[in-house]
Amino acid sequence: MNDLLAIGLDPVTRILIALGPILLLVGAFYLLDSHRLVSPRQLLQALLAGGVCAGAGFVLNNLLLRLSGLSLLAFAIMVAPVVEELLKAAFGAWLVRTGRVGFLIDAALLGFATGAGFALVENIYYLNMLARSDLLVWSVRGLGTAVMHGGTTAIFTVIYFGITRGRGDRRPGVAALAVAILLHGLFNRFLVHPLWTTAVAILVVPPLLAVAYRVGEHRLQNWLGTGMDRDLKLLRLIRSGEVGSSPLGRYLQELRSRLGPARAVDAFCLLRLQAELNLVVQGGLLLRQNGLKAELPAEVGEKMVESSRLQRSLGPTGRLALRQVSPWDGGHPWQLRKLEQWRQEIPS
Amino acid sequence: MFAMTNRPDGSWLMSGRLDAGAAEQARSTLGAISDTCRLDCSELDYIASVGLGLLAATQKRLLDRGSELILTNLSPHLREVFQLSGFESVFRLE
Repeated sequence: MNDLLAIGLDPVTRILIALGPILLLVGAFYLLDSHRLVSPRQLLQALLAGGVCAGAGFVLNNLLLRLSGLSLLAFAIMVAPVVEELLKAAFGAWLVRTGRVGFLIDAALLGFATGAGFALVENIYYLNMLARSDLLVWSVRGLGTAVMHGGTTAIFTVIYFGITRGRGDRRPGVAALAVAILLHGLFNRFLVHPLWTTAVAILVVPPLLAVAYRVGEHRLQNWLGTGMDRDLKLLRLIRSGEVGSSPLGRYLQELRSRLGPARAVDAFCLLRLQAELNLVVQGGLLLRQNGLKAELPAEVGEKMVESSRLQRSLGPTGRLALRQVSPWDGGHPWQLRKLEQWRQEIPS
Repeated sequence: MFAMTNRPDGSWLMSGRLDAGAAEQARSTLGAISDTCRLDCSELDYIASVGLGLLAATQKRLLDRGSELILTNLSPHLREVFQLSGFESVFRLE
């Protein structure tokens, strides 16, 4: 075994082992997302962002190593994981807070791609810098370290999104970051047994992502099932002209007394618009799930603009009151971003 | 109550509510369609997400074979649902 691991590799094989496995894993996770929640462009952005984080991490780590006076091993265990995970998590948190993530599936995939981008740039750097060319070094870097980087960022993004759904408290982000730093630090701590840590990374990270995918798929199917049925029923009720005698009508009457007639009308219009836009996203995902690609209805852009105008007109109090019956289920930034993305991809 | 009735001209009449409770029956009937076929929706009162999913899966299977499902006589509400959900661009509506 030791003889095998000591085999010298030619440059092309080194490059393949250093960069190939992580790119294959990103590709495999991308293909597993049957709804194409993440576009190739978003995937590329995440890889690039990870690469930029690696560059920034390199500069910061070198600076802090000089300032700290720590040994290389102590620094690798205690400081480098904090710096690197903070940088990667900053991008993951931005994805979550700006509504670029809607389900655990895209949280896991974009998080993993960010970490993969980090590992790719790091490995390209080491391909130029490391004199050693044996199989052991490049297997550990290409499989272990790269999978670890992808895994920790995916875990951060999944935990942060799973708890906050992009809103409110930032404290879960700190807890998620602590988990990522701890895992990264443990990986570096046990790098004295590189084969073991590599094996653990390969055996743990992909199954963890598979679990995130499974949970995310369940929630997505639920949204496409009960969520879509609720929107369909709401539109049917509105079209039937019988809203007044329904529980929704009674709630709107109550809103009228609280917000005034003009804002109550805005609330009703917004409710209908949101159900319609929801249906565009749900229908699009349902078609993609079945390998079909739909054109967007021509007036989607106008409806998105009108929806934003009505939300502004309602103000925070009105929006809060409407949340009880709103079909957005609190996830509207993601839906609006998805519609915007589709508008750029496919013609109306 | 959902039903699919085969007509002498080869088209199918869908009636009632195509929701989760009717999914198995619809899946089995739609699964047996192997060529271009007209689905008359004039008596279809309601379609749920599961029904839309079944129609999409059937359309994909048929399109891959060079055939298609053609939906006829949709009510204004169902037409609106098809238009909003993007299904209108994947199905021929008559």
